[in-house]
Amino acid sequence: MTNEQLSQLLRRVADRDSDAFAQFYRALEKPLFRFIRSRLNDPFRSADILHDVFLEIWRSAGAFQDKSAVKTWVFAIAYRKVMDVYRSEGRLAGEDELPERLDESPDAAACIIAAQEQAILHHCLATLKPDHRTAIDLTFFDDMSYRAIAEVTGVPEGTVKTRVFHAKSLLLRCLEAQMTSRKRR
Amino acid sequence: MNATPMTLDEIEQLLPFWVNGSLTDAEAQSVKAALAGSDHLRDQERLLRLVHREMQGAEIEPTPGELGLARLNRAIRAEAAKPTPRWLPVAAAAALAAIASAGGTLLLTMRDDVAGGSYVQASGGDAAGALIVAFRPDATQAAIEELLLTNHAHIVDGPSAIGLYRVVPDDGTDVADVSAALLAAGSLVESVGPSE
Repeated sequence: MTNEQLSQLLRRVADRDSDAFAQFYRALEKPLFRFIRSRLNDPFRSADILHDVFLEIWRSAGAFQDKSAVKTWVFAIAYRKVMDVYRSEGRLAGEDELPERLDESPDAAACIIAAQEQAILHHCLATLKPDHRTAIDLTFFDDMSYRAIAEVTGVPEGTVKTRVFHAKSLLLRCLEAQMTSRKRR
Repeated sequence: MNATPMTLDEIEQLLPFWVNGSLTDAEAQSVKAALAGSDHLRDQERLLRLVHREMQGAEIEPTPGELGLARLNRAIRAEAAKPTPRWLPVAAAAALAAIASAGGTLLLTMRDDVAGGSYVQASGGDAAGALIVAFRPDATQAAIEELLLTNHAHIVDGPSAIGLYRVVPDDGTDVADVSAALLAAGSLVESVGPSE
């Protein structure tokens, strides 16, 4: 569904059109749930957060002003609610620490082999810290621009590019390590 | 006026967004030109395209789906109906009786629905030992699930049009114990009654 179509639906939601709300929900429920679920690692909690996000959309649809893409606006709501959960669980400590500069490039061939195995890739994604994982997910799963990710996460565009760069480096380093470990076995 | 050429680091930071197709035309031109002259960048691009493809192809977990939408609609209706009208308990009692008399319907297992959206046929035994429960509108799915798990019971049907659920005890659990435990959880449960 295009941004214009989502925007039209959102205007109807603001007028309390429940059919438009159902269409809007069906269009964005899956990517939003995946985004929340990959952060919380708890399907029931994630379902509750998804519920809260759509309730907020219902309540504040009239406040949307087309200054950003609809998807960006909605993901920003979800991101804030996930951050609320992190805060309540004390999971934000050290979030903005960046890894040490990785001077040596990982072995490209080893990374390519490892990245083709979903289990290894998922393991390595799971090792990323929340801010890095968010940046990687929004980039490679939701295909967002760094400008949109900056809006969703409320950080400068330069920080987004740096986070994705470091997350990518850590991801490739992990993939290489997994292949090295496998060869030794 | 020509823009200042980007450094290798700046190009490398844009590569993920080149791969997902979200760069501006000017940024994309710069990355394209840099790729043509760097084996290192082409290796990185190849890796990132692989990660992108694998992540895009990853299976998406089952989502709340239509049950989630029904829960939202219920919450929206509850908001619109505040303050709670005095006739609601009467309507609830009438609906309770209607649910109790409906036999042989397809019953929903809530835990399975969240995980995969499956329906199961209710057994006669389930209907006989079932409770009709109204949870408070602000009770979260996680809290309800925890309450039921703790007290060895599960939802087999609901919500009805006015938000009632049919709950049955797990095998070996006394329905009276479950009923007492749910009634004691007043912050989550509005009412509990037998289905017969």
